[in-house]
Amino acid sequence: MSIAQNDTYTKQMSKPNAYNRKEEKTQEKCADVSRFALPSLLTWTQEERGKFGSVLAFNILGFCLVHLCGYVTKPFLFFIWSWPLDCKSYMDRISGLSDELLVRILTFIPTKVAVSTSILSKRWEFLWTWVPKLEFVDNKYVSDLARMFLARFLSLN
Amino acid sequence: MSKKIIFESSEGESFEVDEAVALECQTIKNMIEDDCTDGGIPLANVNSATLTKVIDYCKKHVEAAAAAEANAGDKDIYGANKDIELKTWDEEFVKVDQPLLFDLMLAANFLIIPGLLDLTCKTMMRGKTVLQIREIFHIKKDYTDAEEAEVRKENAWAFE
Repeated sequence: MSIAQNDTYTKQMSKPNAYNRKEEKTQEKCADVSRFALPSLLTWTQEERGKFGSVLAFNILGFCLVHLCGYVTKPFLFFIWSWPLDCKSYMDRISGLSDELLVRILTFIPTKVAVSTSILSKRWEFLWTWVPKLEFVDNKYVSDLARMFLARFLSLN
Repeated sequence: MSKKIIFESSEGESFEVDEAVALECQTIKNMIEDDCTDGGIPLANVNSATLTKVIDYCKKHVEAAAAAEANAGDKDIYGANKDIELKTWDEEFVKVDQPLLFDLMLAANFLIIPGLLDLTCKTMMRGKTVLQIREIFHIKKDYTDAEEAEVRKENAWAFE
């Protein structure tokens, strides 16, 4: 708005004849631009201003920021958005493998980790039960839970 | 000079290898025996980067086997050293990023290279916790909270 006004003033100085028309036009423009924002802010009571003023200011600021910075941030935003998509194409490739291959992978990790993979997803719930070996670290103390697990494991196989 | 076998990667790139190297792959071995390897073998599901690594692996293991055979007469500490050297080489070989390791495993599974398949499977989840596994492989949980609690209870020992 101020730029437009300045513009008019300079024009006013150089071309006094065209002054009236120009000013009319500018005023129209200003009214148009600020119909929603500024005049209403000015005509609001103190109370209203307190209520909505800050929200409005934030909206205007946000709008400007998004549009001004849009060109700069867009590539980054695109990167951030597309990154998980890239992952998606690669996402969970592992769950799509055959049971045979997954069981082979599970065979090479400690039994405890293999069993805990049941929590990953439904695909993994019973995979570990096909693992043909049991790698059990023999501590002096074997917890009740481990005992229960062993009993179940032995009954499964 | 030994017979050459030509592999063609998914990108259409050609790789020429000795027959002895190709014989490391059970699938190719069967094809050679059936005499249907003329004009190259197209491997539509193996890309160039993976195929290069696979051929490296086969070459190394053919060489190692030949060396072991040469030393078979006087098997001593030297032979054992060779074995350790090959193991170290294998360890270095699988120090690659996850997608390539994954592709290597698929290729080994498809071409039936038992040594490479075991090596890649072994490396895939080694030393990782279940949380890390979920993160690395982007495995999405499809349990409801109740179902998850049930699974946790069933296998309580693994989560203690």
